[in-house]
Amino acid sequence: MSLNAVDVAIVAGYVALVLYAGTFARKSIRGLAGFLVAERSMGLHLGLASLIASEIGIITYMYLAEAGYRNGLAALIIGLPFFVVVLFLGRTGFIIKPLIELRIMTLPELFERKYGRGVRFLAGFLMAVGGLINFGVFPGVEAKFINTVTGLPQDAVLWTMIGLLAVVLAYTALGGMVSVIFTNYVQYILLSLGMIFLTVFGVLKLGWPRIVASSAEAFGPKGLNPFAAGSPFGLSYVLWQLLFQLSVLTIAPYITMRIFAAKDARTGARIFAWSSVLFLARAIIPVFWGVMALAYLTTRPEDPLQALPLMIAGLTPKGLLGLLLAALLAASMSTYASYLLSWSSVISQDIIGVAYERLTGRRLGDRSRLLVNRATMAAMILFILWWSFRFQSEELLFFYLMLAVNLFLAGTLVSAVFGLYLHDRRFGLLRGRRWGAYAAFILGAVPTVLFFLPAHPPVSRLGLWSYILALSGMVGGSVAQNLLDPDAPKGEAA
Amino acid sequence: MTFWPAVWLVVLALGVGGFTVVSILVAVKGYAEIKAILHKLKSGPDEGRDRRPS
Repeated sequence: MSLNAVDVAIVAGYVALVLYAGTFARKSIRGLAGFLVAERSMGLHLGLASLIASEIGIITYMYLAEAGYRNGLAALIIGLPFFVVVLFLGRTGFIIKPLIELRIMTLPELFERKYGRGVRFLAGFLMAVGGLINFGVFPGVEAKFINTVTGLPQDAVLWTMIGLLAVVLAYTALGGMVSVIFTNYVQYILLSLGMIFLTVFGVLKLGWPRIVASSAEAFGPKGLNPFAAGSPFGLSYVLWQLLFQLSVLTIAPYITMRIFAAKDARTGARIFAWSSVLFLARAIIPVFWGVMALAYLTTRPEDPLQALPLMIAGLTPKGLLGLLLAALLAASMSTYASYLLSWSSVISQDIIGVAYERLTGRRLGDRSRLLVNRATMAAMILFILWWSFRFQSEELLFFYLMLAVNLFLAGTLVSAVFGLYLHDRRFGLLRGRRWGAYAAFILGAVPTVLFFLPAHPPVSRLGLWSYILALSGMVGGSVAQNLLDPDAPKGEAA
Repeated sequence: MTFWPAVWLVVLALGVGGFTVVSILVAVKGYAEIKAILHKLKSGPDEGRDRRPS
């Protein structure tokens, strides 16, 4: 085992601290708004900590470091679209501001107001499926990481992951968003310390010239220049990623829940403006670790995903390894907590809640919704453990993760833009309507379904096509409904 | 061969430097916000809003 007694004590102490902080919040929870959006009380700095902590996990480090390890310094271009889109959202409040002003708890609620309950149900269903098959690979990949860094046997890693998930389930199900905000704060401090330490320590140990030389030697000009011939990046990649990140950052539930928990629309927009530099760091630091691994490792691992944990285990002095591992576990636990809360709220509010209302004609009470939410979380834990250890794909992990959420992303972005900005009679035939929303969701999901077929087009083309299809579906469906059924029926906003 | 390494060095310095500065701000000011949330939740959403210092 690579850890010594001090390392183990640091990790155990950290887990105990997080569990205490999370369950402490339980006493303060009253009702669903307290549980899901913490009474909309989150300020700028906690908002930043929560957004970044939930958006960084071991899985983030793994797939971004893989990109750096396989493409050299040129892969740092990955950070650019994040930075530009987050800055744009912070400056303009595009989509974010109207969503906060509508005071909704989940995005499908917007679709019910604009397009009717059926669209809300479809959106919730696609979000839940896409979210779960994305989230479902996290424990398996992260178990490999912990296995390599700690030297623990694979069986022990499985139980470690189950233990961690149980801790996350305990504090999230008990304390909801308040717990998530508190624990995210502790986790953010730890993970930022760990990220800064590993980067500075690695550069001092390896030296900048050696890092640059290893990229150039391994890949030639395209290892440094992302626009060089033969590079997997280039202009088309940047354009596609701008669109993709715009969708993720405005409509993915694990991000929008942070924004809905903000005190007001201005705070929500400020969280984005300030987080632009954090999102830049979130992307480039792990990519750079992958480049450092390229310079550090003399023997190339068979599985490129293993490059990062091998470097961390070899490079970090004992004693510090415990602190770094606690920081990395912190990053993952906050991601699990956030994803559990956001996906379970989509399932309980937008699928079970809507179906119950449809079948019985009554709304679920606050107490029943909380109960359903907690039961959903427990069921999700079982599902992701099962999916995680049966998942296999020959594609890059990065591509799989993007295409999984693309199941709902394109349809949601297009429907949200039409619902918020193109929804009154001034827009004539182009006014966003229910048929358009249905078509956008269904057509936007087709490329992800194709991805699971044995032979499919290149992933970047599938990703772009999902947006083109969703937009075509919205325009075609809305024009058809505006021609054939110009008056908004009951349940659809005029 | 020196242009792109220089670009990446600047990007990394901005990214890591900015991350460090914002992280220190978040650590210090986030703690005060946690105390404010606890106060608000303990006194109930409406009372808490009334009592919040202007």
